[in-house]
Amino acid sequence: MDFLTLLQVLDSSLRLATPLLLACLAGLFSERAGIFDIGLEGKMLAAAFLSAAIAATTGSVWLGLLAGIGASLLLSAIHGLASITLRGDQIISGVAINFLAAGLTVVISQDWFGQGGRTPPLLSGGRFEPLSLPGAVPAKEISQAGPFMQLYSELFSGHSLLVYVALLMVPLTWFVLYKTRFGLRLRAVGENPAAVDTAGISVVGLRYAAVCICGILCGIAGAYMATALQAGFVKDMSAGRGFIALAALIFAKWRPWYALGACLLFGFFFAVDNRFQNILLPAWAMSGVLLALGCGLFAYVRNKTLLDRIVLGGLGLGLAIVATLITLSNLSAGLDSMIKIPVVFIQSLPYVLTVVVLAGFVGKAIPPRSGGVAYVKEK
Amino acid sequence: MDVMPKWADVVLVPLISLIIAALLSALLILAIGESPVAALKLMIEGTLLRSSGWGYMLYYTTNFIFTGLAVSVAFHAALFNIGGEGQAMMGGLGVALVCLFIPWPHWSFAIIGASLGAAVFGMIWAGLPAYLQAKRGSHIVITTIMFNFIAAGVLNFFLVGALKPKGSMDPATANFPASTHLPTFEDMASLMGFEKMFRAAPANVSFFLALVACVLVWFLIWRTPLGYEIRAMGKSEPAARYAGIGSVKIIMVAMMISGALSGMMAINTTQGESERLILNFTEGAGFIGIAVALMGRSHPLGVLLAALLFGFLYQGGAELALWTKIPRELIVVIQALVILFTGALSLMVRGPLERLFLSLRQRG
Amino acid sequence: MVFQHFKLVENFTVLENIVLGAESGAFLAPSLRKARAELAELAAEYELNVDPDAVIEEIGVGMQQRVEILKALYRRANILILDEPTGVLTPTEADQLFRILGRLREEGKTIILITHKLREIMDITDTVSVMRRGEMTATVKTSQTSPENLAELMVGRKVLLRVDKAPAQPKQHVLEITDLNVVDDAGVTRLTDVSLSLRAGEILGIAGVAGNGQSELLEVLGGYQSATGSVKVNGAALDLTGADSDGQSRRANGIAHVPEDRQREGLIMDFTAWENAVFGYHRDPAHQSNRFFMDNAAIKAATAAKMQRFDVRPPNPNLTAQNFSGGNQQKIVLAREIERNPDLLLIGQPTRGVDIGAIEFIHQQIVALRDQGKAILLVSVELDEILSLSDRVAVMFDGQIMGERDPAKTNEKELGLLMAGVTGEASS
Repeated sequence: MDFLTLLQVLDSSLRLATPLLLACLAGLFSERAGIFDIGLEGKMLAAAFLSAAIAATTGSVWLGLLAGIGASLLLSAIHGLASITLRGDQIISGVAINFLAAGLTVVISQDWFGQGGRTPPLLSGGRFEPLSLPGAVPAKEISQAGPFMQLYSELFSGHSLLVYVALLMVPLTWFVLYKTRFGLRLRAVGENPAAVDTAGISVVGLRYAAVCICGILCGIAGAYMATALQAGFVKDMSAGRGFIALAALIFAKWRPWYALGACLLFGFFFAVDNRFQNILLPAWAMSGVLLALGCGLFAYVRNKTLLDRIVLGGLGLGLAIVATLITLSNLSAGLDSMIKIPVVFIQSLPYVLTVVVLAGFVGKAIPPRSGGVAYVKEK
Repeated sequence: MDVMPKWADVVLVPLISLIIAALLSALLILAIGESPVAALKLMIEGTLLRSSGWGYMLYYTTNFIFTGLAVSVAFHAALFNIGGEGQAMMGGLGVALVCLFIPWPHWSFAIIGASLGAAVFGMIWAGLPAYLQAKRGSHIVITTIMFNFIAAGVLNFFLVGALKPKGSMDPATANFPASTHLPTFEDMASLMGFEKMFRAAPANVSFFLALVACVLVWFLIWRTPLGYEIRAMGKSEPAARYAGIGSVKIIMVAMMISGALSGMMAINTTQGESERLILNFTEGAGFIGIAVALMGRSHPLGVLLAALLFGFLYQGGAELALWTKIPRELIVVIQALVILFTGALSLMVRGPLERLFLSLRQRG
Repeated sequence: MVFQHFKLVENFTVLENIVLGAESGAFLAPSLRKARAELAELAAEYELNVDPDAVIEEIGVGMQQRVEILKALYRRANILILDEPTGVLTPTEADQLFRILGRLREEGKTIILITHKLREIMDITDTVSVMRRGEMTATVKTSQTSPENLAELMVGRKVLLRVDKAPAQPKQHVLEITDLNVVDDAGVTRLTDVSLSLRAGEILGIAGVAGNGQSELLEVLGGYQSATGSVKVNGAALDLTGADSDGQSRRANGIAHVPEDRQREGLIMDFTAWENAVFGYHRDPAHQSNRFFMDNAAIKAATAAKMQRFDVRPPNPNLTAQNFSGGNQQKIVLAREIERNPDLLLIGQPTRGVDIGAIEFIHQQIVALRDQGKAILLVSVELDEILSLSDRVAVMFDGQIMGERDPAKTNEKELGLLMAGVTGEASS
C-alpha cells in the first residue's frame, strides 16, 4: 500500500469518524452529568431525517442543520423529562427514543415525500460541500505532488465544514469541561449530586443543560450524515453509529481527547472495511495469535474460581480449536499460505473492543459514579 | 401502605399507557391523512376476521412470547436484557446446526434436538455478558447491545461462509431436510378435516411450545426456590445478601434462562417458517420483547396477552402497509410509545392514578 | 456543615472540591488561583495542611475531613457544625482535629460538635446540650459537669420494662469468638480483637451507641461480612472469608438472625407475609412439595398459624410486608427465626420502631427461647432493654469490648460511661 492510498484511507477515516465523534461528545456531556443516554442513535437518526427533509424542501442546508438540531433537541427533551423530572428508567427511555425515531422518520418521510422512507437526493445547495483549504492541490494533480502537499491536500483539506466543526468541538469540550465553572459543576453532578446540591447548585438545571448540549451535538451529527456524508436520508441510515459512539465513549473513559482517538480508530476500521475487502495474513500467524490468546486465557484462570475457569477457559478452548482448525485445513497448502481475514471480523472489532474495555481488561473503565441514577433530594 | 390496589397496578397502568399510545398513534395517522378508524377496521379485518390472518398473527405472537418471557425473567432479577436479538440469532445458529447435521427420523425428535441447540446457544450468548456483569461489573445493558452486533457478525460469517451451500448466492444455509419441517397450522387443520384454513400462514407447532414455555416460566418464578431467589435478588440486593443468596449465581442463572428463551424463538422462525437459516430473521423481535415484557409486567399471562396484542399490531401493520399509505413502521412507533409510557414515563401515568385512589379512599 | 458522610466529589482534587459552588467567575483558572492562595493562608493560620492537588479518593479520611472544614472556612463560615467527626479518625488525627478546632474558636468561630464520646466533650467543649429521643433534655457548662453526670443525662431515667424471668441456667458453650477483626471496604477498622463467649440457655446483651462495631459483629456472625480471627459454633469453626453467600451455611450451622434493619435486610418489602416467612429458608426441603416446587399452600397455612401464635395483626398471610406496622413486621421476622429452633439466635435492635404492646410480647418470646436452652446474642442501643433481658452484658465502643458486667450488679451510669469510651483508668 503506497503513501497516497494510506492518505486516502485516513481521509476516509476522518469523514467516517465525524458523526461518531459528535455523537460521542454528545454522550460525554450527558453521561458526565449522570444521565445515561442509550438514545444517541435515535437522536442522530431523527436529525438526519429532518435536516435532509428541510434541506430538500427549502434548498438551504443551513435551515436543514437547524431543523436537524431541533429534532434532536425534541427527543432530548423527552429523555430529560423521563430521566430527570419523572425519575424514570433512563435505559428504557433511551431504548424507546430509538424506536420512536426509527418509526417516525419513516412514517413521516413516506407521507411527505412518498419515496418509500427516503428523502429526495440533495442538490448542491442542500449539501455541505467539501472545502478546500488555501494552497491545496486539486484531486487530479495530487499524485504528482510531494508527500507533504499530498498530506495537506488529501487529509487536511477537502472536508466539509462540519468535519472541521467536529474536530474543533474536541478542544472546546475539553475547555468547557475542565476549565470553566459550568464544566466543574457538570462533572461534579455526575459523580456526587449530593455534593452539588449541598453547595446550593441546582442538580436539575445542570442535568437539563447537559441533556440540551447532548441534543445539539447529536443534531449536528445526524445532519452531517444526511447532508454531508451522504446526500439525503435513507431509512435506518444511522446503522448503529449511536451505539458505536457509546462504545467509543466507554473506550475513551469519558474523556474528550481520548474520545477523538477512539472515534478515529473506529472510523479507521470502517474505512478499511470499505476499502479493503481482502486483508491477508499467513496461516501460521493467524493460528499462532489465536493459540497464544487461548493459552493466555488458560494461564489466567489457573487459580480462579470454578465459574471463571468454565467461562474464560471455555473461551480459550474455543480459540484454540479455531487455531487448530486453521492449521489443519492449511497443512496441505502450506502454513504460509495467505488467508483472508473475514470481513465481519473487522466490522465487529469496535464491538469486541468495547466488551474488552468494559470487562476491565484494558484498565478500569469507571463511569461517572451517579450515572443512571435519578437524584432524589434527601429530606 | 399500598396506595393502589394490586389490580390497578397490574392492569390499569399498562392499559392507560396503551390507550395513550393508541391516541398518539391515531393523531399520527390523521396527520398522514388517513382515518384512524378506517385503519383500525382494516387491521381487524386483516387479522382477526380471517383464519390466515390469525395464522400470521400467531406466528408473530410466538416470537414475541419467547422474547417477552426472556426479558421478563431477566427483569425479575432486576437485569435489563437487551440482547434478545443476538441471543435469538445464536439460537438460530444452534437450530441450523442441529437440523442440518443430525439425521432426524421425525419432526417431533427434531424439535427436541433443535430446542436444545437453540437454548444452549442462546444461553451461552447471554451467559457471557452475565459473567462480565457478575464478576467484572461491566454494565449488562451495554455489553448485551454489543453482543447483538457481534452476533450479527457471527451469523453473517457463517451464512456467507461455512454454512452456505456451494454455488449458492444467497447468504443462507441449505434447506433443512424435510424430516425436520414442523407442521403449520394449515397442516394441523387439514389433519382435523378443516381444509382451506390458515392458508399459507406461517404459524406452526412452536406456538404451543411457546405456550408451554409460559407455563414453565410461571412455575419457575413463583413455585421454585430458584425463582424465589431470583425475585428476592431483584427486589433487594442487601436482603438477598442477608439471606445468603449469591448474586453471581443468580445473575448468571437468570440471564442464561433468559438467553435460552430468546434462542428458542428461532424454532419458530428458522425451523418452523423459513426452514433454513437466513440473515436478519429476527426482524426486531428481541426489541419488541422489551415492550411485551413491560406491558405484561413481567408475568407470563401478561406477556401472552401483550404478545397477542403486538402480533395483532404487526400483522395489522402489514395489512395497512399493503392497502393504505401507512408504512409498516407505524408499528415501531406504537411499540416505542408503549415502552415510553409503561417504562420511562410511568410516573406520568402512576402519579395521577395514585392521587386518584388516595382521594377516593379519603372520601370513602 | 461537615456531614458525617462527606459530600465530596471523589475524583476531584482538593482545590476543585473547595471551589465547587463558590467559584469566582465563569472560568476556572482565576477561581483556582484564588483558592490556592487562600488555602495557603488558612493552612498557615489553622494548621490545616492539605495538598491542594491531591485527589480526594487517594487521601485518607482525616484529610478528607480537613477538606470539608476548609470548604466551610473558604465560604467565610462563622459557624461550623461537625457531625460525629471522630468516628473515622485515629486518636492522633482526632487530637489534631481538636487543636484545629481550638484555634478556630480563638478566631471567634462558633463550633457545634455532635458526638456521643464523652472524652471529647469534656476535653474541648465549653457548653454541652444533651439530646434524647428528639428533645433537648439539658444544657450545662462543661466546667460544671462530669462524665458521670452526662452519662446519666444521655441515658435517662426511664421506667424499665422489667421482664419476669427465672435466673439463667447456662449449659455448654455455643459460641466462642476469639480475636475477631474486621476491616471494611474503605480500610477503616470496624472490630478490633473482639473476644466473646456465649452458652446455651443464656442471653448476652451487647450494649453500645450505634456505629461502634455491633452491626459488623452481627454481619460476621450472619455470614455477610468477612473477618479474620476465629468463630466457633458448637465447636465447629465458621468460615469467615466469604462475604457473598455464607448466609445459608450459617443457617445450616444452627444460627438464626433477626437483623437490625428489618426493612432493608430482614424482609423483602414487596413480598407477601407468607413469602417472607420462609426468607432465608426457602431451600429447606420441609417447604418443598416435591423435588422442584415449593409447597406454597403449606407455607401459607403455616404462616397463618404463625401469625396467630405471634399475634401479628392483621393475621393475613397474603398481605405484602409493606402493609404491616413496624411492630408486626418485626414479629414476622422474629417468628420466622425463632421457629427454626436455632442453637444460636442473633437479634439486632429487636424493638426499634415497635409499639409498646409488641415490645412486651417480643421480650417474652426472647426469654422463652432462652429457657428452652438456646443461646441468644442481643444487640440493642436501648440500655433498659439490655438490662432487663440480658444475663450478661458486654459493652462495645469503637469496635472493642470495653468490658463485661452482670446486669444485676451494674447500672445505667456505669454502662453509660463504658458506652462513651470512658474506662475506669486514665483515657489513652
